[in-house]
Amino acid sequence: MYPLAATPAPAALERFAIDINGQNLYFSQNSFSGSSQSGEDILASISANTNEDRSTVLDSVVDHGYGHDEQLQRAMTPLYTQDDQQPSAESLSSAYLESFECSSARRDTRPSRGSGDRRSSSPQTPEPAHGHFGRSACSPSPRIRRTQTASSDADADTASDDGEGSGSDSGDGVHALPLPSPLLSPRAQPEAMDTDEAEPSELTGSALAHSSARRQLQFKAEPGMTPPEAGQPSGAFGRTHTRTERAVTQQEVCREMAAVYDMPDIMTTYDNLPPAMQTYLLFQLLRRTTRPGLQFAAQTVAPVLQRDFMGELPPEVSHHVLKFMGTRELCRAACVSRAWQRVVDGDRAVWRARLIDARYVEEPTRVHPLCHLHFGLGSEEPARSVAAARPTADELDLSHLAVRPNAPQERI
Amino acid sequence: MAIILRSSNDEDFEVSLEVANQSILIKNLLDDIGTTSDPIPLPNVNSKVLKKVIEYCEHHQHDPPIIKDEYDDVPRRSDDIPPWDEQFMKVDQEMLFEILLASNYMDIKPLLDLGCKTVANMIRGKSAEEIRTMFNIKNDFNEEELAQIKRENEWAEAH
Repeated sequence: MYPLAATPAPAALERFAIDINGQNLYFSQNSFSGSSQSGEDILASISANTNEDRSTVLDSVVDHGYGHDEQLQRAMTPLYTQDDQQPSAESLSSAYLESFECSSARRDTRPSRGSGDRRSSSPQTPEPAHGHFGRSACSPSPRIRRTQTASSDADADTASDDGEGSGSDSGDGVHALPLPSPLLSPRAQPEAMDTDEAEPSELTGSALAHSSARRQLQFKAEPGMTPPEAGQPSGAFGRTHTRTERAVTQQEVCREMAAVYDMPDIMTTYDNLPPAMQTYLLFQLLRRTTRPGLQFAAQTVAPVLQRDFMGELPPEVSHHVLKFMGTRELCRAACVSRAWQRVVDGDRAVWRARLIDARYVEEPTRVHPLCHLHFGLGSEEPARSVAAARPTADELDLSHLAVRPNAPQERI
Repeated sequence: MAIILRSSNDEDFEVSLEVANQSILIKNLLDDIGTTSDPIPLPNVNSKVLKKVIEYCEHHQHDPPIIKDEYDDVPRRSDDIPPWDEQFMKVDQEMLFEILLASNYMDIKPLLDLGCKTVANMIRGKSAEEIRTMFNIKNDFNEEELAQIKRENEWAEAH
């Protein structure tokens, strides 16, 4: 089902350091910790806390619910006035999450949030710090609060750090960055991997994105729980307010919806992650990808990674490659493209060496006049032109001209 | 004595002097300035590639020095790659490309040779069209040029 599920992380991803604003943050598979020159305490291993975290997040979801209509309305109002358009899925999503965050712990309305294309947002864009990590605010635990602050600063730093050194030191005791759980492998949490939208390696996101095929069916069967249409967003969420028996199901559906609406945030989060974390996240996503998904990825990626070696390598390197090629390969290579032809035909040394090798000419300067003419052998005079540097079929029929009578009858 | 190499993205790698000296660039540098504990910046090599290059150098640090070819342009074999090297070179084209650039820049001749052999082996036995497909190259000849270039090169097919 998941071909890469059991693949162990490459050594490079088991432990690495991220430099954020001069602070070295260390990440390792089995425990994540932040440390600094001041020797801050090391956070407890995430493996010990994963369950607790998830349950606290879930608890707070149940406690607060999604349906704070007034807050949602308030959060969405700036979006309407700003765009004068119907809210896009992204803005709905932002507002949705916004209300979620407001309802849980933080009061942090940002009117600009959600407008514009989040996916292509440049690192310059002032970045609301409460991405996925921000939702840790749900948890009442002080540890989570602390890490949330860290992520805020980390995000802000990444956002402002486009020009090197421009980021002023905002880290007041920022020593820890909450990092995705490496433990949520498809094997450990098979039911969490059913949606492509989910970002399973993310700590709180995985709790929110938790879904299954069964719930997807319910999602479709529940007319009230379809994604909110423009203009009536509160109605969709209002039903989750009451803590009825059905609320549990609806919470799950909401989680799924949250995952869908998370998409823009996931992109933004990914864009702003340090490169090492991006790689790690990619690896975790690949582990959760089904075979067709992997095939798609391979097909998408492979052409980009192809390189036009002869055309793009520095001339001295591409000429070096020619030395390892047979004469027939050289001639075929010349037919590939103009760039290849230039490289192959332009390398007099390689052709001269081949002629010497085939005993058409003798080292170092005793050469046949015809070779002299074509290759400039034995003189500093350049060949007539690149095109003429190499003989044509007729011209090369030189077997009768062998310079050394005893030379073996080798042919090019 | 450990030498610290710093990649383009400011990651430091500690290597032994023997390993570092396989790069003629670094060897010459160390000969000039003496061994140093300061990181040696390699602004053209990112950490991913540098790690790969160091892996190669560490594996080959006890190899005897290569004897310089008396005649450098002589056609060479490319089918004599040892098994470890062959496995080492099982990378995507992008990485192979970067390794070639890095070994050229750092002047690590055996690695450059290995990379070039690998490319030559990829080309071996393939038609021009197959080569284009493999490297995602556009055929930018017009019909007239194509006819001529084919005519110029068909002699090699006859032998």
